[in-house]
Amino acid sequence: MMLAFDLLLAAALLGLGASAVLARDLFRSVLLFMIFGLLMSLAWARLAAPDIAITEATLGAGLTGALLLHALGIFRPAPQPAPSVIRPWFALMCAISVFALASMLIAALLLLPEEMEGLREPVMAKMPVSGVDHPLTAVLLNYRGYDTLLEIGVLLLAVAGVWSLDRQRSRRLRLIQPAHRHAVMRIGIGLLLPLMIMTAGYMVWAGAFRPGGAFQAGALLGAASVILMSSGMLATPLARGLSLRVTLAIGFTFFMFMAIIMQGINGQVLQYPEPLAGIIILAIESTLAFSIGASLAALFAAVAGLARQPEQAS
Amino acid sequence: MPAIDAIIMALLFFSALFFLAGTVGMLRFPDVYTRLHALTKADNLGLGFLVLALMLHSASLAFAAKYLLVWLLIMFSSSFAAFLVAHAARRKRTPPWRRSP
Repeated sequence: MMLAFDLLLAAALLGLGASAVLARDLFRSVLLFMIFGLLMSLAWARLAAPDIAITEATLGAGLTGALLLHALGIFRPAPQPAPSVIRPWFALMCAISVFALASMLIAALLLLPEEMEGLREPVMAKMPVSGVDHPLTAVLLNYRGYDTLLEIGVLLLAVAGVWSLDRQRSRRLRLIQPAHRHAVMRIGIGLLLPLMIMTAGYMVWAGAFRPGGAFQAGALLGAASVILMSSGMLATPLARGLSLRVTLAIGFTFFMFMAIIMQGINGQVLQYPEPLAGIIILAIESTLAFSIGASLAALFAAVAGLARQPEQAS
Repeated sequence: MPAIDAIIMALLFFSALFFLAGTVGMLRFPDVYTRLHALTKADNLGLGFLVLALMLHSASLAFAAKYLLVWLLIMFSSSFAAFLVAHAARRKRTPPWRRSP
């Protein structure tokens, strides 16, 4: 019975991917990409990966969509939907490499041994001492905490890269329309924003025993900041001041700090002492959520503020 | 078949019907304002039936309450989004469709 649903989902994903590439103009491509992200999140849920489904829904359909729309210049005064231009040789190159990758993946899938138990046994066996009750969080923050530390470092580098491209500091954000005089806007954001922040906090806490965690909470915080910036409710633009930089750096810094302390105590980087493992993971996840949210906000602000328009923003 | 399952199936059928109506409306209505009507009203009603079916099917009261809260939240945010789209269309002076004489 679920096979019919899965086949429909797979067909829809393929169809959306094809139409997003072949669309007449880039605006349609971006919209189709956002819908593709939503269906992808469904696919992740069907593959029993709810953590990734949450992240895909927030980032793929929400944040990336908003970023792409801003980069297209949709929200400038005279939007011209850019036509989608695909040069034939480039399309051929892309098609060949994608086909090669797909055949490699299919070959790898077919060559998998019949009986494969994976790493489920060792992961579940060590869960009681890992400090959390959710296998994904245990893997991300404890068993492979080193990888997560480097991922956060990469995110920080990405923000630094984007900032170095936009040399004008604290440029006035091109707000679409300061809308605080609209009652609907005030009421709408007045309800949604606190709800999002509260849900983000809950997800950091709940990551210990059910799908959630720092990345999902950080993505939600980033989405909340996008709403805040796009609606004009933010009184001042996102300045690259000290508080923003501290928030950006605190995730990586605290994680690194913990790693160094663990090295000093146990002789092993990121080896948490057993009774404290849970609380250390919670502290690291909280700071990570703040940093990820701030990074996404900074990335969006950089893209949304990059409009090179001569008229002054309000 | 127990009565509750029959009720759930009926609710799911109506939900699918309203979603279909909303989608047909979105594809066939002449301008953005009427399309917004189809999207928010019909789709939210379809979602309401779906949520009712899920609430009847749910394992515990906590789940039922969560489904209800999800429906309320989606109604709120979709009406908010519909206002934003309509307002933007008004600002761009998109003319509402009039029946041609």
